[in-house]
Amino acid sequence: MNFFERKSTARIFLIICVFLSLLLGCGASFSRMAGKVEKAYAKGEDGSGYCIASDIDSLYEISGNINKIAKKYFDVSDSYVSALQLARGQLKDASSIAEKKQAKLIVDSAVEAFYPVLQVTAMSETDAKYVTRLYYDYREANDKISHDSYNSLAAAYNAKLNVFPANILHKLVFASPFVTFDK
Amino acid sequence: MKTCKKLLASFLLLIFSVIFIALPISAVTIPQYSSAPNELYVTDEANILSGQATNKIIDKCVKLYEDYGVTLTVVTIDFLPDGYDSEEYAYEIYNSWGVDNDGLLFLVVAGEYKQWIATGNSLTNKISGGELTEIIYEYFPDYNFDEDFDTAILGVVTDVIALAENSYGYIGNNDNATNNIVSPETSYDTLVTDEEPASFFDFIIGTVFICVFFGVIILIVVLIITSIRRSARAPRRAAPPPPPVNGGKYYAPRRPYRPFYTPPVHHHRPMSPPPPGGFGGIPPIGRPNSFNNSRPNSGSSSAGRTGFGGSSSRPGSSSHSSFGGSSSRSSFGGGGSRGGGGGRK
Repeated sequence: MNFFERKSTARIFLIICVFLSLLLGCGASFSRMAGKVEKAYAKGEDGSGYCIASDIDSLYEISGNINKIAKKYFDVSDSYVSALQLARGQLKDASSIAEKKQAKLIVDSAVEAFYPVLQVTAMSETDAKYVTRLYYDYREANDKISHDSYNSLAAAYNAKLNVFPANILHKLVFASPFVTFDK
Repeated sequence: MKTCKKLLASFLLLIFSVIFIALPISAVTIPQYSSAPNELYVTDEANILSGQATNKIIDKCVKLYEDYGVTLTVVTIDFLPDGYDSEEYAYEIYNSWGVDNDGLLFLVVAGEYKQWIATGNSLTNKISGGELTEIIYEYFPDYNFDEDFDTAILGVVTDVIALAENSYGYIGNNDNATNNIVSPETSYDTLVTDEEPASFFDFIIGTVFICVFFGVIILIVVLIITSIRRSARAPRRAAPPPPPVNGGKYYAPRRPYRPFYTPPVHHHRPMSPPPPGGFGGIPPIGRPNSFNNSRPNSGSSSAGRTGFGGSSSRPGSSSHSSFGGSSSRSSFGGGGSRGGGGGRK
């Protein structure tokens, strides 16, 4: 009997088609959802440009300004200065969202560690005011990051990935959860 | 069985009661601003401001709004709700009230000595949190605060207004008091598009999916056509068996199975009378009784399809009217804050 005329062949083919279409459909819908989350990160949920990516750039600039003032009173090889410099370098080199988050946390630690030291360091009144203002600007940028709508979108996406059958299917289509920037 | 039902009922009751009790507890209480004209600029729930100071603050805020289109509102409370610091609570109030995008909300928590100024979406890049924090620490120092809230709050309001005036141009009669979001001056402006182009991955998936789908359709159609052809083809006659050898039995070839075949009806000629003088000749062999199966008429009943269709009319969208432009205000124009600002957490 011809191979294509067998019922078993038809059944196998049907099963393969159903499985493939399931995978493709899941992949497409995960990709669409992930695209919205990535857009919220890079451009803001409403596309306005107010987003975590721009806030992280602000953190990078502010920490750079803190380092500039610090270099007037500390040696370049100082542990706090080099730690902040290294952390900023990692933040600049980070490409994915997860890497950005990791690098941001390192910069946060470096700034939080350095600020009390700078407060007790003898410096000009102008520089002391600059350091204080920059530190609060840094803190403000972190506040905005924690309130950004990206966090709720990413949390909703991750929650969907944990529900059956998405918790199995997302591994087959290589859809991974997003990190959040909550406090 | 009865015990199980009781247990289930009590469990469900417990779950529902937890849900209904938990719901109100989880929602944070937001103070309400007064809807009286211009009283939305000061909400003194902690009752720490005198009437004179309140009126001065309102006058300053009205003038700021009229001249620069910036909304400044002052809120005083006694204590923060559980789980909130001053920044988060100010952010909640700001977005709950829909304070303008060009706005500032100054929160004073009298009982906990905390202060925060939250900025709207449009002001967030014009006035930095550091500047606002400096102002707050100037009038609310870490030590030796003399509990004169009137002077401290008025001082903060005056300095914040000066900052806002430097950030915004004078607009006179507040012609531009709308909720325009100012795009930040970053390269992200070029990334803003109305329609998001499909990614390459989406394109590939879509193409493969369409190919598979149509492939399946075509295969099914081919299989159907093939099976129809097979059934329509005339059946092959089986080859007659070889003649028997040495007295084997001979079976006549089997007629093929044709259930819907109706053999033609033969009308037999009447037998010719025997020739006189006896029988002669071989009479024609007639067919056996023919059955007269008449095919049942397959009546095709076509039910009339009544297609239904209809146009669903969408309700008309209501137009949104924005406030602004007059000196007497009883509500905010709607906007939001991304968080941030400055102060003491």
